[in-house]
Amino acid sequence: MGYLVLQDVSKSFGAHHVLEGINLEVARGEIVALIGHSGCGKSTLLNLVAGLDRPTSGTVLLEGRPILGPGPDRAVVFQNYALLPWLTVYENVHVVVSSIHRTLPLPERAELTEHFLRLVGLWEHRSKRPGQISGGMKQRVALARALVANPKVLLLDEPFAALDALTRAILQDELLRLWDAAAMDRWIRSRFGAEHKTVLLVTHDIDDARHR
Amino acid sequence: MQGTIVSRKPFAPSISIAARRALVQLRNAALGFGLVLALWYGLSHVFAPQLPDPVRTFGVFRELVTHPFYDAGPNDKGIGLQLLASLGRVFLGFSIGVALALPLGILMGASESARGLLNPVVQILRPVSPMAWFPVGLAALHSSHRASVFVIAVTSLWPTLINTALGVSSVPLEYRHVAQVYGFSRWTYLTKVVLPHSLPYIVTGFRVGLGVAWMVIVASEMLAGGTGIGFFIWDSWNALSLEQVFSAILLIGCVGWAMDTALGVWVRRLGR
Repeated sequence: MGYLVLQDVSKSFGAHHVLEGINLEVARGEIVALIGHSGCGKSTLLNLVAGLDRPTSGTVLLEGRPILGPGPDRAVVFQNYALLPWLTVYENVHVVVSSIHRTLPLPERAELTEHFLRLVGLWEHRSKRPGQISGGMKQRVALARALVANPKVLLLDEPFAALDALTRAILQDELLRLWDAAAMDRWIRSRFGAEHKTVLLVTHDIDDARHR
Repeated sequence: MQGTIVSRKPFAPSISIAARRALVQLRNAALGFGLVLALWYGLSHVFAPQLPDPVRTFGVFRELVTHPFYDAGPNDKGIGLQLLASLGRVFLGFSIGVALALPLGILMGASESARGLLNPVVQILRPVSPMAWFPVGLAALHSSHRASVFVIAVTSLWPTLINTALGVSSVPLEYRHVAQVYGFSRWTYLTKVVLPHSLPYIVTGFRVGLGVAWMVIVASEMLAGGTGIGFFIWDSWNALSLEQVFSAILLIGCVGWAMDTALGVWVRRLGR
């Protein structure tokens, strides 16, 4: 059986059926892209996996256990990144570190935050607020925030939608590079385990989907 | 084609645009005050000779502000002392009102059932003139000074309560999702998401509340007597000195304007 499994999943909002009879199996370490028009329900599907929404019928399973609500084992890079605008880049990542790695002593939490900010190349920009950095940089903050949670599944909701075409092409490569880098990084491997993250990506752009 | 990049120095005026705009504003303000003074002068000389004219009033005003802090017994104090007494009551009452309104507002904004419980009560009590609470304060607290503070607390309660509830209930869905996905504790959610988002709303509530409180304190002190700028106005009326009444009106306006401007600057800085 697959790592992430959707069994006969349907989702309706009132009389409006968004998803019907969806079956999907994703293997561990796989990258799966969901492509479709805007409004076809792919973001809804991502929200079901994230646990932010519940299916009307059917079940979503991760490692054989049903998903009952949102949790850090399924980290989301939101469509508009949803960085907290009143926190600095550093604080945006650190607040997640502190929420998830609660048993870690403070110096190690700081180390974790620093390491992931260096990984995405934003350590020099750590004191800036989201309003002061570019869209591409915001995306990297959102990615660092998601990866630092050490999720089982990484969910990317239209990760390039808010970017212009030129930046997008660069960031598609960069996202994969960072995804590799996080898995190859010895420091991270020793703490978070060695395998690549399972990735579920939602996009309306076929270029985004077939990029690898 | 050969091109040269010509860097032209921008035309540099002798004073900056901002400074010029400020000058224009100042000139218009002076013009506005001038018109009102002219009207006042005309009224007091033609239609209503019982009113003091601006010249006489400013004579009294100058006298009042040259010795603002003299203290010659309970019925004869400088206008600065009276203003300070009023400000003291306003800040004390305001602090009490805000201390009650903030937690209640957060509760109302965060919980549907708390809102259902409290909102009808708030909607009924809010339109009541705060002065109506004066006898209640008098009966419960046995002092007209404390009754004034009580009235101010009631006054500042509603705007802060309503604005805090509005701010808390309007946290964008995406920030709530972030908190859920990354397992924020209640405390983290409150301090890193809810309060920073609500702060501009809350400070706007402060601004409205303080503005109304500054109006209400005058009425309250007229009733309470003893000290304060409201008492000063009533006392001046009894002494048949409308010059002092006008002077007090001008000073109350200036103090209110200063408080409102200070909070306005704070709101604008938060909005950025």
